[in-house]
Amino acid sequence: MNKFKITLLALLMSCFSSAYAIQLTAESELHGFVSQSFVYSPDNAYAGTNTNTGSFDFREIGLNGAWEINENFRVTGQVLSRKVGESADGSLQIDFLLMDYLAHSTAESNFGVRLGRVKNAIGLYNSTRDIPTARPGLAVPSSIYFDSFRDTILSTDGVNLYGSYFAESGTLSWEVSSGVSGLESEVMEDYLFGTEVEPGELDKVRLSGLKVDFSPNKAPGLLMGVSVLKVGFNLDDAQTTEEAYSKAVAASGGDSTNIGLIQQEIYQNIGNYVTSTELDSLVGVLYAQYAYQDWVFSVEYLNIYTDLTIGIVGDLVTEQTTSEAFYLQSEWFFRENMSALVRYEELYLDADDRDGSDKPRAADSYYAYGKGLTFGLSWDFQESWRLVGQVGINEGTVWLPVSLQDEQAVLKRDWNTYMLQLSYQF
Amino acid sequence: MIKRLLIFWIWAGLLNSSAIADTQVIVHPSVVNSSVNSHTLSRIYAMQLKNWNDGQSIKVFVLPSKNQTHRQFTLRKLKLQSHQLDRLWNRLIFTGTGRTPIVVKSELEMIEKVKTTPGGIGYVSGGVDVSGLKVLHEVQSNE
Repeated sequence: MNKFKITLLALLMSCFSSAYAIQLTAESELHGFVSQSFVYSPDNAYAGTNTNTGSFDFREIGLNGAWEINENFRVTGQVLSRKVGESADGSLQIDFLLMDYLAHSTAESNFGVRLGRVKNAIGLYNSTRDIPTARPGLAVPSSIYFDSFRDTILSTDGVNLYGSYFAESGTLSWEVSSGVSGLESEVMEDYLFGTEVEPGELDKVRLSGLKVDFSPNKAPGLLMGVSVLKVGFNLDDAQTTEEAYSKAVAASGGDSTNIGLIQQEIYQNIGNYVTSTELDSLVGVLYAQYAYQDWVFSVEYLNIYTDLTIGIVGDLVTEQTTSEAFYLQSEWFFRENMSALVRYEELYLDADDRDGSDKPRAADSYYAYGKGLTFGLSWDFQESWRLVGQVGINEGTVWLPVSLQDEQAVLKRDWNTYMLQLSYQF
Repeated sequence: MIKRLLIFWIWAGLLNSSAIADTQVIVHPSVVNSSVNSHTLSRIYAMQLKNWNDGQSIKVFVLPSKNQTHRQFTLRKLKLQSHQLDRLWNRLIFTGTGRTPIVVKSELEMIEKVKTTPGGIGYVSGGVDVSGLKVLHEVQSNE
């Protein structure tokens, strides 16, 4: 969708009289948003080499509908299109689509059930990471909400139970979810093995999540919470040990007695001889946010424990990795319609190998970690409109979105990004 | 002349002083609660607390976010900034996890809506005639 179409779409939307929603009927309404960004990343290509000189290939369009069938029963859904340089092509996705039944509601507590595709409430920002006005600054913190596998843990297709309890001391809110999520098999195979695996498909991801947060009445500006997500997937329809071995024999020259040559063939092309894959991961986020007068302070800590077992021609290899990240952020709402943001964050893919020297990568020596300082400025210059500028000073490339095309480019350790985003919401 | 200027000055000063212009929290006469503290009010406006003490559903009405009375209300009664509420409501809409307050265009419409909606809650600036409605008194929580 080119720039002209976006501008036209935005202009059309601004003609609607209500800035808050389009009321379809008394019980249903339509909301939406559009954002267009300019990204300048002179040091490392950010989701594509166009950003070396500045690119407008970054936009989001969302459309949301909600229908209140009765007091306790709602149906709501949202479609989203994201163009992120060469990393996301702007195709329309169902962001969420759910039925929500509020089963019990009193002044002491409430409880409900949601069925369908529900956004996962991980940390402060996962469920709103694609909503321009709900983000701190221009984008959610990359240390916690990094781009790889964002689609996998973004939402769960299944069941979601939620509730709140209004105690003397404060409000406790919780959410439990269980279901599946889609996975782009080729991308994950490439990440795990460096190549696509034939035969075999990494199909559905199993997800179970839990979130609990508490806001004390003595300090109503304070919110503290924890979210946990269990992620698991397997390789379906993989080749058998016999099939893999025969393939290795054939590829190494056909001599089944030359074990050395066969083994060499297997080691050099592991991706071709994968007989099984099992990944189990536990994602945990601890978070706290404190709003005081014109300030909002946020802090989050992420810990991901992953157990990966791969079968190469029937031989099982297991690896356990712990990834860690955190950020500290402060926002200052110094004007009614303006705010400034400062954030410091760090992410380590492997807590036991913080500089990635155990597993060096040729063109990307600093892939295993990231440290960043971000400055942002937001200006709500008109009703429903927002302009945000953001500067990122980064070290380490762990959260640099790399498009598959320029995978071989040599990446620099220190890289800055300069971004500007215009958004409209109704 | 000077007397008039003085009266005008005092009047303007009083208008700016939040003590006089303090907002009133109004509810439909059927609402069983007669007083409310600020954290309960903020739970109601955050759309978390959905029921009055007798179980009646709360219907929440607001003025537009940029409206002065709205800002007064959120600051003084909810002890929140209006941008915090906006963010909260945005999250509800754009994650599909809840409904948001009904936006009315004027204080007149606010009074009309709260008067005719059982369980309804809203706010208007101080001094506005709220006959036919119940006013919720603010209590300090025992902190």
